[in-house]
Amino acid sequence: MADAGTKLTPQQKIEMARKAIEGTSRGEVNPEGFSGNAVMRGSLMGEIRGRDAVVAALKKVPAMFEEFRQEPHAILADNEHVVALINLKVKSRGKTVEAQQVMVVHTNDEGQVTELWAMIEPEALKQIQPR
Amino acid sequence: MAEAGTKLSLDQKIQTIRDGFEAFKRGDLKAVAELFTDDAVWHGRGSTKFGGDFKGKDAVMGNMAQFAQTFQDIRLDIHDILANDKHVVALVNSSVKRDGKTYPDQQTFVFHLNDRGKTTETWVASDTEQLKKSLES
Repeated sequence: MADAGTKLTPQQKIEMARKAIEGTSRGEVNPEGFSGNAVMRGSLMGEIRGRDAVVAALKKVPAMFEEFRQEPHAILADNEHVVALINLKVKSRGKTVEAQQVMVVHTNDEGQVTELWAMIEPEALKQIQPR
Repeated sequence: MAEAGTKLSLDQKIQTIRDGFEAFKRGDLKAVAELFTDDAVWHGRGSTKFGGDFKGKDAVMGNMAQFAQTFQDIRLDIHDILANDKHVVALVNSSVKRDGKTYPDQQTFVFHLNDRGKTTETWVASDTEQLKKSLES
């Protein structure tokens, strides 16, 4: 692993993203994974600014549904971005919706998320009703 | 360069997709068509005429040609292209114009390429609600 303060490799970013996605599905979010001025733009929650607000919002997501499962189909990374192609399964009010989610993440050299953009196909999103 | 039939490097796959976007932007659909296999499948999203599965190169290119005819000032600015062994992902800042109104979007294109660099399958993630509105105007 790269030492703190050094530039992470794309493979290291992919592993971090995979663990973060697995954790988020359980409502576990590590604040150290985000820069202080992190911004999240998402289909489910709109735009949220600042580490504390982003972390709080991500922790809240699974509790909004009876079931919330994100299974990464593929995660790609280069020096600028991490992109996760995710199969999403959400159950709410007795209804299960399966959709494809695309997550695009900008990270700094320490691998912290500076910007996170998560999109669910709009027509599937209309069927997802938080409880 | 890799020889025909050999596995392309990730950089070569990325360049292939970049070349495809450049060909579309200059209106060279013949060059775009050469980048797809005969049995390619294009998965469009949403309930417009551009949504659903288009199977076979002719159907894929017909869909693309119709898109080009429906909108004016189609802009596709590549923000980044990433690749691994199975996928090439293009992050694209796009906009189209119809009836004098401009519709900006951030699109993600996911491509499967075979070892010869031909696209076998494509998925498009975009704001399909906005696309629907643009077609209703």
